[in-house]
Amino acid sequence: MIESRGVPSVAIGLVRPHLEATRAPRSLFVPFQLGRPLGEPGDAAFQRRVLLHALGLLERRDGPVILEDFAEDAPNERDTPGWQPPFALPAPPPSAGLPAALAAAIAHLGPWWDRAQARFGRTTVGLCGLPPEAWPGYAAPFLDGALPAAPSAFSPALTLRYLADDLKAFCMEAVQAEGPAASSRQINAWFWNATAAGRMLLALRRVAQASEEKGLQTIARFLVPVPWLPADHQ
Amino acid sequence: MCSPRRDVTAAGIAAISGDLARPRKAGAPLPIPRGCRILAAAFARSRRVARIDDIPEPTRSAVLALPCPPFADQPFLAGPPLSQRRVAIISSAALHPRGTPPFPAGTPEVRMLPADLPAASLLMSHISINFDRTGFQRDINTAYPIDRLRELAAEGVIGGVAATHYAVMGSTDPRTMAATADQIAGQLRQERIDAVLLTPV
Repeated sequence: MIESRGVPSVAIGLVRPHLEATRAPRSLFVPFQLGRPLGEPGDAAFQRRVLLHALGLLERRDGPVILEDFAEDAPNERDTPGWQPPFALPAPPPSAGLPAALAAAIAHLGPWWDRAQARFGRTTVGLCGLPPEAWPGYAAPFLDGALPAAPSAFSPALTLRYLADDLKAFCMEAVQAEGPAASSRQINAWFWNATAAGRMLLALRRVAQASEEKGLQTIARFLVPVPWLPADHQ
Repeated sequence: MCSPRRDVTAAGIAAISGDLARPRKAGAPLPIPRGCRILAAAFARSRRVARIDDIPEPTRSAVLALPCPPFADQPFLAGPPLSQRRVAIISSAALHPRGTPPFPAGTPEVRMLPADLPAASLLMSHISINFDRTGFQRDINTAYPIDRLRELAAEGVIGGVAATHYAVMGSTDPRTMAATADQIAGQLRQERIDAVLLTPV
């Protein structure tokens, strides 16, 4: 679309069938996981090789259509042997409900989230407009079928969806605060199998699916990735 | 007609046979046959091309079902050497400056990202939950290689980095985005950009 408007372009693509179907002027297929077109976080040399290969296609004269395959796999996509979170999550009191368990987990993870921000220089949390300590209180009424007032111009359902994105980012950044890089699979396994945050999102998904409120029904699909749904949630 | 992969496999097996049949001194270790290297390379290539198979269902089917209309024409523009080109990024990761509203689902809009926007001011609000965010959490360049472009510009490998970059919502049907493409192209021309790097997630 851009090249037909007068500007030469090159695409880095993660789904080869898409590149084959669109027949863009120049594209480089990279065999990395979805979400990582440059492949390897924190590895400037690797990213540079991807970028130079892609940009180099701009100097070719033998198109259209140029579609090349990048020759390397991203080195750290596989699980890191022996990886463990740098902290142990406190066990919630036996009688505590999900919101209380989530509040305890957020309080525990807060200092680790701070460390992650120091390590990576930033956070990707910030979509829902609420600070982390307010998330359990905002999410709790949904579990009882209520729709709390949204703190911003978003609808309650949309606020909940952004809160879910923020909650995942908060926890997944915190668990990367120290130590070697874990694979995305290891981080997701920890989040969905071992945290109150994961349990809360599963519970919210179930409530949203059963709700008569259209907005909640819609966002139910955008809370938990299907590969991480337990069998009794599918 | 043989597929290229089958040709390579046959060539690899033939090479292994040749390697093993070659006379060698008694007790000398077997060489690593050249054919093994050919087969290993062919296997590695086939694994890369088949990467879509690594995506778990139902995400794989959903990804493959996304609309990918072919371009109506086949433009292929020439340009100056890379060392003279100014490069802009168009990301489909629904990136936007902190403090601005997230991308609504299905929107065809574009958000302009100033090149000097600090990494800490960049958020991602893509509707899909089926792609990895942990890499972006560690390093924005995983999806938005702005620092790598700056380095290439500083070294003279590319002519420069655009003052403005662009983000769209990648799950939006591209057939609704003609006006957005016009808008982006207008800004690119205004900034005299002569190379665009598309980085879908």
